[in-house]
Amino acid sequence: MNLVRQVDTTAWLSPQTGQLWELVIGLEVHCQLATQSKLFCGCAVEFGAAPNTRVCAVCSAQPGSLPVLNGEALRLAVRAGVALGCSIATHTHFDRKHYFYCDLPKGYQISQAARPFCTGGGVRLRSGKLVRLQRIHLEEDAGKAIHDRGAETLVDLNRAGVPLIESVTEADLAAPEEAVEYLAALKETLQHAGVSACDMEKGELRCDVNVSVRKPGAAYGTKVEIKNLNSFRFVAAAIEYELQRQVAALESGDPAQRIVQETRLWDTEQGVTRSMRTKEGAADYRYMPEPDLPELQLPASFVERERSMLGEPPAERRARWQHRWHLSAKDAEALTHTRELADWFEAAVRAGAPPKECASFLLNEVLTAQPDSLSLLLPRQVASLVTMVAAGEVSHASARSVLRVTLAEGTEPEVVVQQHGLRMVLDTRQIEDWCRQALVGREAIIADVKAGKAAAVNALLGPALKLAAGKANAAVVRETLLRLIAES
Amino acid sequence: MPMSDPHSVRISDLRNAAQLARLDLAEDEALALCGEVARILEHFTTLQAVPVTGVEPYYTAVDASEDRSSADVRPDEVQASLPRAAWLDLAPNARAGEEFLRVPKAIGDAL
Amino acid sequence: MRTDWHRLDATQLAHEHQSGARSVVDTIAACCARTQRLQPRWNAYLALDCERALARAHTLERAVTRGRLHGVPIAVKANLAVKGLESSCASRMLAGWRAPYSATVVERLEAEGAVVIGTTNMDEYAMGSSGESSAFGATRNPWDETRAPGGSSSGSAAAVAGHLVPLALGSDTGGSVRQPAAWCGLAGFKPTWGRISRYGLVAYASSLDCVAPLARSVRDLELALEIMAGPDARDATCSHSVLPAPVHYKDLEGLVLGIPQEWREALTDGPSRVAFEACVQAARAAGARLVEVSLPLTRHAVSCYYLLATVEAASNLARFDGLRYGMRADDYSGRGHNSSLAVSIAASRTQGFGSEVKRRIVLGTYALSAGHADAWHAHAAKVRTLVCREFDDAWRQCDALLGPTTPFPAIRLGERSHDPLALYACDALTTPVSLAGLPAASLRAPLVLHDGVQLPSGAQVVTQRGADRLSLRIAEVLEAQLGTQALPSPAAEVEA
Repeated sequence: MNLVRQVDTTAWLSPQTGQLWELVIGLEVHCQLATQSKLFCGCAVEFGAAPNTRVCAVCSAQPGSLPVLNGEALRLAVRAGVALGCSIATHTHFDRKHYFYCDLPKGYQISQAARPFCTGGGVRLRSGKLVRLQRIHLEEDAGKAIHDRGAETLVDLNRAGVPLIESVTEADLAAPEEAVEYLAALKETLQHAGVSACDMEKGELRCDVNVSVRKPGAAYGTKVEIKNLNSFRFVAAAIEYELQRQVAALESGDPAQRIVQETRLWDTEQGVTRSMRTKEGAADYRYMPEPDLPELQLPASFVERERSMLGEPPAERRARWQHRWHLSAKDAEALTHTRELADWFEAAVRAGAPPKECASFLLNEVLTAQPDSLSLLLPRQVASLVTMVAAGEVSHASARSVLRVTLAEGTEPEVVVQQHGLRMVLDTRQIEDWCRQALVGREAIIADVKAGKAAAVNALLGPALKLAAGKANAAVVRETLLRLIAES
Repeated sequence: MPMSDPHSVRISDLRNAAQLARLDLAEDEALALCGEVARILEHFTTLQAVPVTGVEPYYTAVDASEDRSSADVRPDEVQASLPRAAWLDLAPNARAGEEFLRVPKAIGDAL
Repeated sequence: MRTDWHRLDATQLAHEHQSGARSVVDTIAACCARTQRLQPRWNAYLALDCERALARAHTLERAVTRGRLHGVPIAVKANLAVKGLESSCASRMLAGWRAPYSATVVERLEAEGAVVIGTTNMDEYAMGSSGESSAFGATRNPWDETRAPGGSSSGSAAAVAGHLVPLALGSDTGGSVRQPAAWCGLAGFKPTWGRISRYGLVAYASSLDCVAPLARSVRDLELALEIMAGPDARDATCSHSVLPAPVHYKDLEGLVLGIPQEWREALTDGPSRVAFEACVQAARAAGARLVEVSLPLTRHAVSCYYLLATVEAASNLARFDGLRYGMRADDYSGRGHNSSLAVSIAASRTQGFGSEVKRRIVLGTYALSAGHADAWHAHAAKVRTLVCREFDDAWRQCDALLGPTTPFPAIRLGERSHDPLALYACDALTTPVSLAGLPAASLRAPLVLHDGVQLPSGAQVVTQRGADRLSLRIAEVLEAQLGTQALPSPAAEVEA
């Protein structure tokens, strides 16, 4: 099946039947909140800890244990809701969602059912389209079950009880790249809000996709849920695959291939989705209000406090930098990769660094020097270095060396420049001196320049700079040479 | 009782409930147990006669007069977890020094 | 001649230990000997650890600081976590489980010097009203060994009634401490829900469960309440406020007691009515003004309670899957499941739970299942709101309610064990109070002549949310007025 993507509309044409098809996509994203401890107990949230060493009576569901809500998790969850433009409920409570599985110690998950703390809101894509959010709710994560090690299943409960927010969109997405853009924007918003690091490699951001197809204007088709997608790339690939699979099945007219409402797993190796062969239809989770956790009030002051913690949305920051400081879109994008980096950049500018040069220096020199550069430097140190380069006091090459020394030893850049004598000479008379020396015995070149071949002077640059031991600005030297020749 | 009556109790629904609760009852035990439960529920149908229009459900007896916005939450501080052996050793098939909890193979069940 | 340790109440025993007039080690040693010799007779305990108790006694004897329960032996119901002791909840499912931590209430009592002797027998997972649903045999009532002590805190009641300990912990969800108190001639107290931390109490019905003490004197109940009550960071539903100061009444002058007509009418036989009337007269004699009140929803309380409790119970027992603790079935024949895990879980639960537990799990699962939740669970929760409002109306007319604790005295063992509904009927008068989360003290009413035997009976004093002290004070005054606090207990004479 090779559907043809249309140019003017978000639809695909089936060459076999001439039929147009549309995609209807909804995303359910689980995001791990950036807390130190779990949602309902004090066990540490720690990726990579030895198995089953971050477990207590509560998260192993020992008889008699009780959950107690982590206040920071609630704050971060509300902050996420505010960042995404949602309405925050004035009261919220938890519900029990019942099912049996080896990674769910209590036999139920503490989540939120009918009344999540957050509704509405959304994310606007670059095209202007608003992807609406249906809801966001708080819930605890399950542990990890490992099935491929021997005759038994192995269980690690370190992750059981880790705080998550689950955000569910309306079925507003219509193409794989829209889904990816939405996820990237969601990740950026949550990361900048300090809600989560959203590191997909650590499983801090997980996405399930609901996909169906339909003929334009027709009713929604049967939707299929796809799980086990741990990169944006796979999200797009899985949607593509489902598009082809579902259209082929529907166009075949074969009842055996009818689309069934089910959960499918993405097979990374084969690049296909596979049926999980579970029972059709929805499971009966028997939701019930959680009696061990009292209903919580979320007064306006609480919500406003979280709003004040948000800071400027990254898109607005980028726009401001491009408009006010003339940063390129590319540089602005790169510098807002994390909130930490964006804040760092602005702190350097506040410390006096010329913005455009600082952006370039940060991206091309500081971040490429070593992975943890930012934690070894202070913004004002970089500001000082960039300012010196921009003023012509230090050459670009020298600046690189100074950076290395400051990173390794912590010495202040000015001190390094001083100690290594890297300061450029700005004294015009000294530069003239070197130029005059370089001009000695170069009558042929002088004649060429006087005759109109200005480029001939370039041959003298090397010798002049050598006399200056690299401490003169090449452009200034060239200018001085030309001036002296003209005056002679 | 008419099929549409929400209070009529079907044995098949009770057997479904037993399945949901992971209780594997033998045929005769299932019939006996579900029969008893049906009888109890029939007895409880008198409760349905109590008019509840406009009444909010009361799930928990938490004192509504207490200010519960701040004190019910825990500060985000890490507390010591149990030493692994302290709880893993409680498992029925535990062996000394294990890293993982071992359970019967779970494939086919996952949600 | 010095009084035997087992005739003293906890308060007195603690004083004698504190002053050194009595040796803690002697008391604990004698307690263990008595307990071990009488265990086969009443089957009050499931797990005993006399070695541990004696070691603690030695430590306490040497201690400089002496708490309010210094050296007092206590029994703890087997649904409370005691680190290192087995708390099986009287179920095969949890046989052998030793908690890796102690319940808050146990920690607080031990901090005041109490010595836990062992964990007591009960109806499995606290589901029962006679003690006959234990997987390890029924407990016998020390007053009349052919009869049930009541449930579900059957073993704790028997331990106190049998003078094995002066004070025991039980749990009261629908009457599980008050009812055995009444049937065993004891004082029992259910606090305001949320007054005492539930951390460490194996949950049956979370929104109804209360840790509740049993004793032979009301002052012991109050002492236990003082020690156990108070905020607990490990229980989010535990009240933030501390227990109010004691209430000082010598008599009941100035108090208005309401007698619910429906509660009075629930008494099934003449002698029970006579015994209750004596309580009413005692209240009048103590200076209380009596008014008759009406609580019409009383007749629906059992249904409402059982629907809500079984829904929560089915949920709370979902964690018993044989994977992390408890019993895992060795053999299973896998019917209609997708995986070995599902088969194993079902086999463990089917083999591990007794029939009453299974009945309630099926009922509770059904009442919450798709298509039925609104008609049963949600409806019952709304009726619960109405029950609370009914009590709120009653408080406009009186300061406290006085009624019988149970409709009839202790039943014979086996009398109702095959009829769940008949057993549920034992809770007709205790369940309305549980639904509203109110505190209630069950005091010793006069003996009742029943089947040719003199049997204990109880009366309960119910007060508003938070007025725990008042209910205890009124109960104490009434017992003094009735003279029942000095009620001779046949088991006190039983020599070990």
